[in-house]
Amino acid sequence: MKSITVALAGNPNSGKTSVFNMLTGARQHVGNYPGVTVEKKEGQCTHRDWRITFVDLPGTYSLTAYSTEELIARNYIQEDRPDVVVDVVDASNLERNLYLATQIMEMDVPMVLAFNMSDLARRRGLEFDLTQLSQLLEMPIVPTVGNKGQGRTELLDAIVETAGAERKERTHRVTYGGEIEDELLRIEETLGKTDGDVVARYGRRWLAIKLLEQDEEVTSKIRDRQVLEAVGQSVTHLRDILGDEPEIVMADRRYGFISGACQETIQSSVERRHDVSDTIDAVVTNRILGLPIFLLLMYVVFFLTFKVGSYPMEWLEAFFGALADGIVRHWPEGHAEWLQSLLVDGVIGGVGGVLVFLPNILLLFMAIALLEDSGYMARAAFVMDRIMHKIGLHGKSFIPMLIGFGCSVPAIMATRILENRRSRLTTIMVIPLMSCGARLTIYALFIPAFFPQHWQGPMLWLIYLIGIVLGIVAAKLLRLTVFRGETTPFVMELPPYRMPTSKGVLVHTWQRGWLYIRKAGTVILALSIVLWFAMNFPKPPADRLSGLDTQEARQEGLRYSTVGRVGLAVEPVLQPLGFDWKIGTALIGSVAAKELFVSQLGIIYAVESPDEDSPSLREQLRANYTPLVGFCVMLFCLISAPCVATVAMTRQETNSWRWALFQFFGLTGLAYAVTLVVYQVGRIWL
Amino acid sequence: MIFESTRSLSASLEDYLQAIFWTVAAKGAARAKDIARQLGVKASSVTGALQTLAEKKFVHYQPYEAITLTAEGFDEAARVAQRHFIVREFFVRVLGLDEAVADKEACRMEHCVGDDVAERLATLMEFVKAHPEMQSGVSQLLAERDHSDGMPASVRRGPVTVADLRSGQKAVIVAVRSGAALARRLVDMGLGRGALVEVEGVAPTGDPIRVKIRGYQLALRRTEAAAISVVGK
Repeated sequence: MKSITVALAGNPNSGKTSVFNMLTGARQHVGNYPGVTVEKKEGQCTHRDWRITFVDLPGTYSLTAYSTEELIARNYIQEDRPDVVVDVVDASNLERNLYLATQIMEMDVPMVLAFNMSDLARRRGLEFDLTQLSQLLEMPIVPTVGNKGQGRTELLDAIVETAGAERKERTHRVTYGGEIEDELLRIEETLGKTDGDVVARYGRRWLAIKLLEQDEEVTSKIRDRQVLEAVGQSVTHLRDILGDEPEIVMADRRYGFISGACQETIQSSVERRHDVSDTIDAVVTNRILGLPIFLLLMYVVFFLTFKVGSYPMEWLEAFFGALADGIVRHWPEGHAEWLQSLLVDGVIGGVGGVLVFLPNILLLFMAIALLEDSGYMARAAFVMDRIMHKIGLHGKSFIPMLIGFGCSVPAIMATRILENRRSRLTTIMVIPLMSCGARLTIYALFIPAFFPQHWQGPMLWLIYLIGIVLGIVAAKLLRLTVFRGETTPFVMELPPYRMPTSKGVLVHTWQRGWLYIRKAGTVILALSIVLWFAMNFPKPPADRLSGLDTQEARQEGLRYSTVGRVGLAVEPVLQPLGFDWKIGTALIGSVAAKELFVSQLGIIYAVESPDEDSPSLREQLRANYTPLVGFCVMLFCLISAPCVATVAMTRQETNSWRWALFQFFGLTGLAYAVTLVVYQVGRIWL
Repeated sequence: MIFESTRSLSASLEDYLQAIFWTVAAKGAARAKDIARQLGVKASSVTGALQTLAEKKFVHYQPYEAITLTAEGFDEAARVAQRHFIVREFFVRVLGLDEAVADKEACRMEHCVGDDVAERLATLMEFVKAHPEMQSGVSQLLAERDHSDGMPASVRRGPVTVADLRSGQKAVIVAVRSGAALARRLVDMGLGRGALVEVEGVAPTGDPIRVKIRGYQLALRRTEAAAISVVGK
């Protein structure tokens, strides 16, 4: 059995993922490229007596040093030297797709071209002379239809054949025209005299091209001053005679090479100006209808995720409830009660509390996969871009922020649709300000406790509005400070509309759902156990509990625990906000999950079966606090400390504890500042 | 840069050059029969004209092979296209002529108007656009003179970059100017010199815009579109 590694390259929207899925089936491993938030997918398959490992490179249009994804793809090919690079091209949009191919060709790796969506191209009236194109590009071309699984065997045959074949020197390549070729030759000559290591690894021609393009990354690899001087002279000279940057002219020439190749090998039998895609676009990006259609679709996504998802969610809740009951019922009386509590309250409460969201997550990702695979996602960004751009974000940021009103955890996962790192981080940081469903239970308890009937609606609306306004301000501030930098140019392809395939959508949904399950089983499990210990230990000595009933004993237990002590300890800090140690303790407990705030207050006020509709708890609150304090509590809960699951998700998606902690403490600090001002000003005013 | 030419071609040769320019922009290369059909002339006349243009180093031409423009040919064709465009826009926007009539007039005038005159017309058009009271003054005078229609309701800005094109307008890219990363990105996406670009629509909020380039659709913010200089069709 021979083992080879094959890299999969291609434009976004070329159907690369479907080809990857077709080749590797379910045997995939999803991770991150080291140090960056770019997803790395690997998969395996065996073909004849070959064992093939596929690496799915990020989808890119080019291989410059200007974007992380392009750099990763390029470095993978150059540093890891895969045995074959398969370039997946969208046959119905050949010119732009071949642009990437010309750049991979220059890296001198064995290539195979997967002519994907060839069925669609034919239906559009395009006829290809693949034999001739294959000769021109000097690589095998295999027509595939990734989402229907067509062309798999042929593609694998071509891959192993290419891997086993002897390497030949290319005879056809992009020529950049007399003046540029002269300079390339000059740079190659200087390179020949020096920098042995780098030259051997990357090849002279490729280095010369990248140097002339003034590629920052490659230039930084060259130590020899002579080479750099020669490059400098060439660039100045070319700029003079071409009247433009060499890099731009060279990009033009690549398109020239492609036009030439296409001219000879493609025949368009029908002249079609407007197809179905154009007609759909005329409606969904229409000046009047565009926004309403977008909002309607977002409503459908929201409805599907949280309304339809609430039924399986209830079943799961019932299941975990039954599981906890079962444990309690069958637990041998008087044996290791703490272990029972750890299992029931800590593990099942914590992990179960997160896993019950799995149906919502799966439905949400199904909706997103449908929007992405159909091509609508790009239009949504197009429609929303102007508004989001004003706060320094990308049109696509709207979608995760909207999902944040349901739950921050899937919302943070949904930021994967954002390609730009700064936009993505900013969006992740402000998502907890979109008031999630769990926090609604707090408002539902407090608002009726403190405000008259006719104020209740506007109050709730005000809380949500404050979150949105703070989110906008925070995003803008972050883009001006921590995530400063040029706003990403909005140069985005609007892919033709396609009918999503059920297989593609399911694979997409499952991959992300599985990540979520794994998260619940690891980080969230660990943090839940830690928090359980903090809420239950140390135990009060037996003499302090004597003579107390169950309710009072629980109250005393919480007061004596680490969380209770911290609550007491931070009371002086919380006093300027109008909070006492009871609220402080409940706030700390709510870090596990926001809805715990209500049950914690219930324990503290020794109310039986506390929930947000509990009249006795409301009475207690009314008796102990002013409406101003009540409002401040809601404000603090809205802004402060995202829950454990959110912290864990931010950690995973940003690949760093730094951002997770920055978000946690940043938001808590913001909550403190805002609440302090509101309370102190309110006290004078009211 | 577009305006500094010396006249070296006859009117009919300029027409051939124009036909090649637009065909190459749309299809990547032209064939003699395309040109003949477009100009309504015999294939044999095309051959003659192509030979002359090839001698003057404006086109690459071998019998029975696809025709492309040389760098000089591209520049010369762009100049003629530019004159045509300025004259027509001037007629429509300042003089209030019907688009079809203006286009027909411009087809003749593109050959005889000097680059200098065209440039001055363009300047005057800019001035009129910057002073709406002048525009309304002119249209009022014209309306008094002629009560029939023909005057466009609103006189819009004259295209210079992709950002200035109206929905449905086509243009050929002549240069991409902006910071290195963005310019490269635009050219990488196919928005290079000589490519045909068509504005297809505008987002509900007025920005970004949708364009068609090399057979696919791309969304651009107006700020990015303003970096792409074009000559309109």
